[in-house]
Amino acid sequence: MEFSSITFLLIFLPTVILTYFVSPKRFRNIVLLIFSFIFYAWTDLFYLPILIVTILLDYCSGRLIFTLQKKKTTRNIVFIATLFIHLLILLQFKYQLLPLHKICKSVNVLSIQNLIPIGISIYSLQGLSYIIDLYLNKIKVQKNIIHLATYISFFPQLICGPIVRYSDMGNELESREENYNKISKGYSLFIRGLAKKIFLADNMLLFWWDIQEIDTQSLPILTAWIGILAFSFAVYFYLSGYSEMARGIGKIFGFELPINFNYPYIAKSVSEFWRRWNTTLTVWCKTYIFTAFGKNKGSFFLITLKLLGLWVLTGLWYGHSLNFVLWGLFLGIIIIFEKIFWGGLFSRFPSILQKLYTRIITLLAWVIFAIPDIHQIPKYLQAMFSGKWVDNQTIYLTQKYILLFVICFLCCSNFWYILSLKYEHKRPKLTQWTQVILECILTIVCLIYIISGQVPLTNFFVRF
Amino acid sequence: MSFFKRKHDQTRLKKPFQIKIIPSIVFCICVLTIGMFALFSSKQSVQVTSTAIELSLANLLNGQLSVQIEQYLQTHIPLHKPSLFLNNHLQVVLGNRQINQVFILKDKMIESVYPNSTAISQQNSNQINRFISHYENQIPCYLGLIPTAAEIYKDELPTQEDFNQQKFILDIYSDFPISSVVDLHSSLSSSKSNKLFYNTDSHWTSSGAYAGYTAIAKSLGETPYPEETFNIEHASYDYYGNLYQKTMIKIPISDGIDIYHFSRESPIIEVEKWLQGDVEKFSSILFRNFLTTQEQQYVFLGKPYSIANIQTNLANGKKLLLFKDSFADPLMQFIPLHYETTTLVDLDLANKTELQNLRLSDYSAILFLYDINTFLTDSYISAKLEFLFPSQ
Repeated sequence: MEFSSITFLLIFLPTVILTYFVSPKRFRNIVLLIFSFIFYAWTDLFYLPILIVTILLDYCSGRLIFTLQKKKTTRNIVFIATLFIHLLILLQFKYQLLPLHKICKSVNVLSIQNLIPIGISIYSLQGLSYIIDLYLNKIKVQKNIIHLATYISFFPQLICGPIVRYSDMGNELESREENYNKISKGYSLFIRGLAKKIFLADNMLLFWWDIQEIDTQSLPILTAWIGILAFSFAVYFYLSGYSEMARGIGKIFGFELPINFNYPYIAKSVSEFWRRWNTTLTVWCKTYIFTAFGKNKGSFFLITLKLLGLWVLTGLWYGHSLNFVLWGLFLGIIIIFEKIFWGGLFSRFPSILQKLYTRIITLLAWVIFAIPDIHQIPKYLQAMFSGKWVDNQTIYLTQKYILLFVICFLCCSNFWYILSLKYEHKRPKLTQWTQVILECILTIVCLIYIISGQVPLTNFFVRF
Repeated sequence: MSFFKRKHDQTRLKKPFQIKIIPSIVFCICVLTIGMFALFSSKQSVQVTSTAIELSLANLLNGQLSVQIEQYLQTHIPLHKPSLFLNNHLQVVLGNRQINQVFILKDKMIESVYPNSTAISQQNSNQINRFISHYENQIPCYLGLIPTAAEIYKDELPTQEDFNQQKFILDIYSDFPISSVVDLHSSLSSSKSNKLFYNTDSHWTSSGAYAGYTAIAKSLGETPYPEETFNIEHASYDYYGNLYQKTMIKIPISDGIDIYHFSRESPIIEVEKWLQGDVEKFSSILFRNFLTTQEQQYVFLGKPYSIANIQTNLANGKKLLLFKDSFADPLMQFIPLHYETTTLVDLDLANKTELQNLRLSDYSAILFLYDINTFLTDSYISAKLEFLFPSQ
């Protein structure tokens, strides 16, 4: 169930919000859990048992790890076994360790349409964070299975995150406050995220698909650059749009989910880009993987190796094809080079040049990310730097999408944020009313667009 | 305690109204409005639900059921049409000139041909080829593929079409004997200064049909009547066709339906139409009552039918069997002028019994006439031809 679908927007979301707020406080987590299961089953009933198994695994192991405080060896065994099962589930269902669909087909059980269960990349990491933190005695055990299940299966995060550590959500599971202020802020976040997804991400993705149809040998330089620029917007607005929608829905229910994308395209270096991009994933990887391998301890070569490993794993999180590994590796190498060679030098350059440098490098990285067939990557890169500059197709596409590109540029920068801050002090009432009117218009336009059935079915990063 | 609690509640109620909550209230009002429309608007037939949604355990498990329900909701949601209208207009205002694969130009709309695959067309081509090979010694058979406006007026499109129709037609024709194919592309291209296609519909106009007729008649060994032998009646001026229905954008130049009347006495004496076993008889191919409706395109031969027989008083023994799509209907202003009987068969609608009742040996020529879009997407052509000759 996509957040931009009629089913979600006009049926599921109003029902869950209504049920939630009419229920007594003590039943509200149960309401969220039931609706999370309904959300999951609606999309992936076949894979619902995996989510339930993950919840039961984390609950039982958590209780055991807590109980076995004094029996270190047994505790360690339980911990390692839990990690192993988690990784096994992740490897099997995300990276197809065994070709399950082929087995099902051969025994004529069921034709599996979707190979990757929805949300597996999110709930597995959340479950792991709970178990690891509990093992390291950083958090208290959750004895209420409803609370833990709500944390792992919380439906707003299931599609694109953000990945929330148990320590950040644990207290809110026990008690949280819902009020008008949170509802209005939550709704505001949700509608902005929705608009980002349906107007910007989907249309930019369609543009990229149009470009991909063109043979790379006849692709003019400008079209190639505009194409990958469109993809960079598509991937950003898709992931950040979903994250904002998740944060918004979370806020309506009283949860404070972390920011996942902090204007990455205004970064002045690739290192900064990495810090601003999918922050919750980066923090998770640093906390649980980099720390486990001794952080910055060891020789320079060892640290570099560890960092590269971290970036490769981050790339693998997005998908199991080789291009994702190469994407992580490419950015990792650039970051290392920045630290050793040109980072200091570039920091003395004017801000605009630093941003331009970062944008070009990230665009090159998106080429690797966007094209699954690695043999096509060099051909596309070649098209970006050689051949004719422009053709009729470029002019037509530019004319068609120019307004959308301008909106994308404005929305991926902190332009609106600075503008609202500036006027909030000078004319607070006017700023507030302007925001309210804009959000009302956005609500109506989004609904018209969705009901008209013109939202393209992109399903871009729903299963990863 | 209860006093304090009540007082506390009262102070909470007295909080000033927060304007920030307004957008979420607007959202709730919109959802409620749509809900009310769903409850009180005319009930959609349950039949549609049962055909669109397939209840099965496999569908439930692999997520297809939810996809089907979502698709159903998408098309049956209240206010869908007004939303589509508003959305498309908004897109045009924002500078988008292509909506639902339809280019909106200054004076016309042109639908883009965008096939996902050519597998169906290949099957159709193979099956027609087998049919022609089977009957080649008994009856002359022909194939005509009609290019769309996107091919004829490709110079007017803002961007080059990915799908090359001319190449596609030549590829298909290369599998057939040269005497069996009708070159409609050249005929239409040479008359492109005329209004060959409607501004708001993907079909050809009577003028386009005339250009097609000249090519068909020549291929079938007939001499086409010159255009001067027809009196042209401008039967309507306010036609908005299927491209308007797709985009809901009104362009400044609307369409009109022209009818070509043979200047001599019309030889047509009877028209029989079959649909699902029912037969209706008429004295003309013109159904003028449609000119006052939104479905003006049905002025030629009326609503869709499985088989139609056009009988003339020409006792020349020539009988034509025409396997066709909707493009053939306006052609009936011209083709029957050469034949004693013209039988039109729509393979989409004809059933097995109707097809098996056709006596092919009675015909002096067989023509397969389809536009590119139908040929690319209609799998019934190859499937139903099976009933007309023994499969291998």
